[in-house]
Formats: sequence, C-alpha cells, structure tokens
Amino acid sequence: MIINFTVNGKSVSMDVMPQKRLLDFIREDLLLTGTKEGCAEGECGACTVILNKKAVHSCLTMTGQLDGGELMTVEGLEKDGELDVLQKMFIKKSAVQCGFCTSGMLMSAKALLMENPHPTQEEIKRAIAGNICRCGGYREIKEAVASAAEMEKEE
Amino acid sequence: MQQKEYRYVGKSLSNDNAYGKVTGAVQYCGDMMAPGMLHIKIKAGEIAHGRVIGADTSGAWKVPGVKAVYTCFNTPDTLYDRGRVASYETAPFQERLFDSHIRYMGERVAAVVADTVEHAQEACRKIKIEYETYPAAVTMEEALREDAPKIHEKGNVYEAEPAVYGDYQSCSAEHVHRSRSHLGRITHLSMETYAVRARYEKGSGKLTVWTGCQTAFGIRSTLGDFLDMPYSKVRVVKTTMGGSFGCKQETVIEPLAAYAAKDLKADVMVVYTREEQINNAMLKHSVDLEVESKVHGDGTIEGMQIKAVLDAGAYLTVSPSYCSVMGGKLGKVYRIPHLRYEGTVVCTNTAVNGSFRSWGSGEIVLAYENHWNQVAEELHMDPIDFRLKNVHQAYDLEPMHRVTVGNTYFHECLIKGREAFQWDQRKKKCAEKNKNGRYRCGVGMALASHTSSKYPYSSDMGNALARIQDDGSLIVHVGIHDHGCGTVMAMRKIAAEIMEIDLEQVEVTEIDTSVDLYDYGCYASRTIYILGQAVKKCCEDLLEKARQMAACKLDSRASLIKYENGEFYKEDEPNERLSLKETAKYAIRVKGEDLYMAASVRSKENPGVPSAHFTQVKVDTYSGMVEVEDCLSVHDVGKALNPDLCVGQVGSGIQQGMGIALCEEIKIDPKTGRTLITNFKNYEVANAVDVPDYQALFIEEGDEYGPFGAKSIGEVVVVPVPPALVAAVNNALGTRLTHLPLTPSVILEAIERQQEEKSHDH
Repeated sequence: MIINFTVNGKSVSMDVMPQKRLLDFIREDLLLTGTKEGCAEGECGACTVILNKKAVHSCLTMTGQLDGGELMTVEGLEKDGELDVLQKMFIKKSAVQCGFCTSGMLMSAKALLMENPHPTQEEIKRAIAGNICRCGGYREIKEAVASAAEMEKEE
Repeated sequence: MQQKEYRYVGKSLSNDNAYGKVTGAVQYCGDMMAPGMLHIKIKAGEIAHGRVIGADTSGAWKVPGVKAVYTCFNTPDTLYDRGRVASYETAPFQERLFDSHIRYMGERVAAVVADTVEHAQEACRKIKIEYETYPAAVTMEEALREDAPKIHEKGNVYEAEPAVYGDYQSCSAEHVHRSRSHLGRITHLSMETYAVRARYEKGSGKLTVWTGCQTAFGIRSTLGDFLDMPYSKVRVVKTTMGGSFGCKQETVIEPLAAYAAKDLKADVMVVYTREEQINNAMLKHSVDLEVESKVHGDGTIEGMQIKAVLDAGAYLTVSPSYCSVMGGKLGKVYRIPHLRYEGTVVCTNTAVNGSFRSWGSGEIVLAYENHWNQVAEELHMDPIDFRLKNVHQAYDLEPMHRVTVGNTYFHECLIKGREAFQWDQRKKKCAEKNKNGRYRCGVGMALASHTSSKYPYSSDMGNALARIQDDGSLIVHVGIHDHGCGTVMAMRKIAAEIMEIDLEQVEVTEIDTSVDLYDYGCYASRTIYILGQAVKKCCEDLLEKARQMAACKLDSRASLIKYENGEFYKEDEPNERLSLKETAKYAIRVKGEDLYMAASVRSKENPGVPSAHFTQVKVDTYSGMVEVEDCLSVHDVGKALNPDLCVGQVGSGIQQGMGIALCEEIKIDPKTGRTLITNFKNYEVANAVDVPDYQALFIEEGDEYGPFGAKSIGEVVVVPVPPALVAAVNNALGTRLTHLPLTPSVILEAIERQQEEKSHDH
C-alpha cells in the first residue's frame, strides 16, 4: 500500500505494510531510532510521537493510519541546527538521565505546548502522567516543561 | 569545612551527552543495525516444573529466514551463573543455555535465530515441546516442606552463614520488642529492556558483545569460560544504558547471544520484550523479615536480631550472596553492641529474583526502621529523638566489617531534616487533624546508610589511563559503566578540574574490555568513590609528567615550573607560557615520548552515606489511597560532584520507594506459578502526578579519600523511603502495617479491622 505523509516536515510517499506498528515503521523503515519501545502496549510513553498534532503511542498505532498525516518524531524537534526550546530546557534543567524515556517525554510535552502554550503545573503533570521515567522524580522534567512554556511566552 | 571554589566540581552542568539524548541521536544497543544482522527470539515454557522430553522443531524450520533453532537437545550442557561478576568468584552455577529440567513457568525452552524478528517469533510459535510434569513448589512454604519437590539436586534451601557481633542471646534490656516486615517482588522497570548484540568474526575468531551492562569484565569471563575462548578474544563493549537499577548487573542473555553468534559466525541481536524483561530477566526478591530487639528504658539499643527468608525463584544465582550481604549491612547506622543475623534462601518454581538497587540495604533497613519506629512509639519517644540516641558518630567502628563508618554525619542528617521539614510542627498538626473525617494525615521518617565501595567484602581497586592528545585535549579511559545518572560527567569534571582545562576538552570513554584496564563493575555504589579516585590520581600524575616535560622545554627544573589554566611557566618568568598542546607536541616530536599515565588506587575505607527521609501522607479512608503530600531527603554525600543529577537521583529514590511501599508488586499465581503481571497495565508505579515536588538537602563535609570528598548516592536514595512511608501511613491511621505494598485494599482492610476492634471494645 502506498501512503503519503510528512515526517518531520518532509513529504514522503512510501510503499508500506499498513498493519505494521507505527513504532516499527519509524525505527526500521524511516530509520529514526530516537523513538523507543518500552512496553508495547501504550502504558509507558517511551514510544510517543506526534501524529496530526496529537501525542500518540506509536506502539498502538498502525502504519496505515499515517496516510495523509503529519508525523513528528524526536528527530524533528531540532530545526536548522537549533534545538527546540523544550530540548534546551531539558538540558538546562538536568531533566535527562538514562535518556530512554526522554524522547517520548519530549513529544508528550511538545504536544501539550502545541495545544496549550501556557499550561498550569497541573496540566503539565497530566500531560506526562503516561510517560514513565525511572531515573528521576519528575521534578526536573516538570520544571523543564514549565520553563519552556515560560520562554515561549517571552518570545 | 571550608568549601573550595572549583571550576566544575559541584557545579550543575547537566548530564553527559544530554544533547544526544534530547535529539534521539544516542544509540542504545537495541538501536544498532548492521547488514546481515540476525535476530533471536526465545520460546517460553508452559510448565512450572518438569522435564523437556521432546522437541519438534520441524515447523520452525519451515519459516523463511530461520538460521538456527536451539533447544536443550542441540546445545551444550555447560553450567554458568548469571550472577558471577568476576572470573575468580564462586557461584551456584545452576544455569544452562537450555536445561531439560524446567524450573519455572515461562522459562526459556528454545530459541530461534532468523533474518527478522517476525520470522524468529513465528518459528518459536511453531516449535512443539513435549514435557513430563513434576509437582511444583511455588510458595516458600511449599518449597520448605520436607517432602517438597527438589528444584535442584542439592535441595531447595540454602542457609547463609549467620552474621554475628557481640552476643545477642545473652544480652538483656528492659524492653524486648518483636516485629515482622514483608516486601513483595517488584520489577526494576528499567525503561530499556535487555538488549544484546553479539558478533563473531570468522577470520580472526574474535567475539564482540555490545550490552548496556554494569559488569563488562564479569560478562567477558562468563562468555569466555562458557564458550571456551581466551578472554583476549572476547570483547565486551558497554553501550549507553537505558536504566538498570540492578537488573543489568547480571549476565542474563549475553550467553545465548554470544553462543548463537559463534555458532553461526554471525552478527546477532536479541531485545527482550517487556514481558520477557519481567519474567525472564529477574525480579527483586520477595523477603520475609523477623526482627527482635532489646532496648533500655531510655531508648538505648542493647541488641538486635534479624531473621530473613528470601525467595530466590527458580535459580539461586546471587541470592546466597545477597542474603549474606544483608546481614553485613546490619551495623551501618546504629551503635548496637549485640547483633545477630540469620538468613535463609529458598528456591521456588517461580521466576528468578536477583540483584536490585542497594543490594540488601533496602530489605534490611526496611526491617529495622519499621521496627525502630514501633519501638519509639512503645517508649513514647519521638522517632528522631530515639535515633539521635543511637546513631553512629563519625569514624565509629562498623562492627560487621571492622572498618569505620568514615566521616559521616548521621546526627546532622536528622537535625537538619527535622528543622527543614518542620517535623515537630507537622507531627503535631497531623495528630490534631486526625480526630475525625475522611482523610487522615501522618508523618514518618527513616534513616539509612549504604556503601561507597565493595571493600572490605573484597578488595576494591580503580584503574584509569589518561592520554594528552597532540592538541592538548585529554582522553581518559576508565572502566566505567554509566547507568544514566551522570558518572561519566563526574569523571570529566574531576579530570578537567585537575588538568585545569575546558570540560569540552575532556573525553571519558565507557568500558570496552579490549582497551580498558580491569574493573569489577559499576555496582555497590563504588563508581564515584573508587573510579573517581583513580581518575583524579591519574590526572595528577599525568600533570606531573607533563610538568617535567615542560621543564625540559623551558630549560628549567620541574620544581620551579608552575601550572595554571592549562599552561606551564617558570615562576620567575610568568609571561612565557607553554600550553599543554605545545608540551604534548614537544614531547612527541623532540623527546619521543607520549604523554600518558596509568594509575591504580585501592580502597582503604568504605565510608557510609547517611540518608534520612521525612514524609507526609494523606490517607483517604474511603478509597484506601495514599497521597504523598510532601517529602524531604537529607543525604551526607561527602561532596556532590553533580548536584543537579544528585537531586535527580533523590527523586528516583523517592519514586521507586513510593512504588515499593505503596503500589508495586509482581504477584505469582500460588497454584500455577505463573507470573501474574507481565506488563505495565496492571503494574502501578508512582508517576508524574503522584510524586510530590520533593526537597533534597546535601551535607557536604567531605570524605578524606573520595575524589574532592565525594562518597556515593546512587543506591542509598531509595533505601529510607519505604520505611518512612510505612511510618507515615501508620501514623495517619494508628496502625502497625508492615506487609508491603500498602495498597488501597490493604489499607481498607486495616481500617475495617480497626473499626471491628473498636466496636468490640464498646
């Protein structure tokens, strides 16, 4: 099945297996390995990507659903060599440890800020409640998202 | 202590390779791809106990792309032990690649190597295994019976050598108190599951294994021995690790990957699914603990005795050692004249339990901190006052190991925490609030300590090799395995601090057994304390060597050469500067010498890391839910090299501690032995909503040997959290619950019991 979609801003037309998990398609066919598998059932958030401006679990999404859509992965956050403000704040606030949850965490946060540029603390918590991080206590991550929102407000 | 102003040490500079991690550019083992790479999938057995008597693999071979099908009938009988972390270690040696004797439900009975994961998986499904079923001993109670089915030839029970100090039986005091605690199994939940790549080169006969491990040299020895290859031909490379918490300390799937690579002379990859990670890697032990103590009326502890029974699961692996180590950790916090510990390990027909963050501290501290909180209550003493009476002073002898506790600050942890958490005020407020209403609040605290080295359990050394490059930049080889918590960053800071060069000029490589000097592995919280000392000493020695070279070039004596900001100069000619780059070039071109240095350090001490946790909870008596409203951890870290990442570690300890105390448990079906939770759907963890905005305080008085005074933090962070939470819940409800986790149903049951008792009283 040939589908058309954009990935990180680039238009693509590809012959795909529509039943393949989007996660596998991203990693194996698009060769974007920043998206991780943590549980394969939508419970840990490591595989989160943004499809049509919404955060989705790529492990529960089929590749066929990509047709006509707009896909953003962690690799698409950096634009022209400049990090997205969320990435900058994740570094600045020391919100990165082992890094395995980081891409999913960033994508959940990005989807939140795309929809709601000025989230409350509570909204930030809820947006990343489905992303498990085992290396920290979420404090740095919450701070990073809040600072990113704050920075965008200033700009 | 006067804090010296450092360039990098003690500064919050984020994590090493944070850029690579936020852009998705960092490659973890499972992200590696190579032309012709093959994939392994394992087949899980369907009985809890029995024997494989036949395997029909014909269906599997019909699947396209299948290269090998392995079962107990066509693989070696060689025994190995996943828990052995060094060539010279003794271990139970009970495991085989595929054993005909099946000991737990889901144990691997076969594996397929194929061109794709899908083909390997499909072929696994088509393998038909024929079993002879034996009676199973699923619970410890069943396995301890005299007529219990034998899981291993030598039986199911292993008694650890008792750990004894003083004479507990003969000592006496006014109050004798007894308590019991129980911890359930949990999964480590490293976000990255097990992933191993192994490549065998036909021509050279070399085997390379990539794994996000904690013990590269240990894995090398297991693979070399298992495959009968010289260690020099086996190369283990540590890849970026997506979290471990102990599960990647052991050699779980590397033997299978290496065997397949060698057998097929190929490049193979195996990545565990989450279900396999839970059922086929390892879980944290389920432990039953009985404590008895003798305490004087004024709260002074005279003696303590602990009996522990650990469920090892189907294979002993590290459990005997883990069980003994628990006893060894009895004397780390309090001055107790008489101590006794007895540990028993029981094999059951269930998934294997093994290494977990803090290696026994978590279990033993939970037992005695739950106990001391009850004793304090019995004596009508505040739990902090009770502890202040009994904790170690700096340089006290740690009785079990005959080393001192080092420059530790138990008192200060308690006093600072009491003040910063406003303990007394909160305690009073909670007591007043709890008279009636749906919500009850409570405060709780606990104290702990842990290791900074594996000395004196065995000797501990650290090795480093540093090389100044011909542009003046520096490469440091050290046998480090960063768990993601920032140990590489800490080493870079140490090196840059000593060499007085920009942090960006320093590259610290993680372990690769083909180039690195020996290392035991990054466990026992030894990384910063020992490897940090090695890196520091190595850089100091290297700087002296460079100074001598600079003296030659500047036509002077080394004793007259000063060094500042990466430049040498003569004391009397401060304007004529020789950079490290110029020195290195001069060394290579003129003197024919490479500016490198290797250094080894040996541990002389194993300083404790006092750690106090204070917490406040709100218990909903209608739903049984516990909300952690606020908490504080105080850590005597010696010196926080990465203060930002230390705070992150504290958060991790709180998050995992909340899980252990309140919600996490992998249950086993007592009838079938099946692991009932093999996914995250039914496995509750503390998430971003649950974990409060905790506070962390560090006491930084400096250890005398640790690099810039640093001790450890990575494991101890989790240790005091569960007992503090248990105390807070009990404080809120007026209960004495100690059987973890305190899930809503446990709490509701306790409330119900309480109400029944009250109505009986009336």
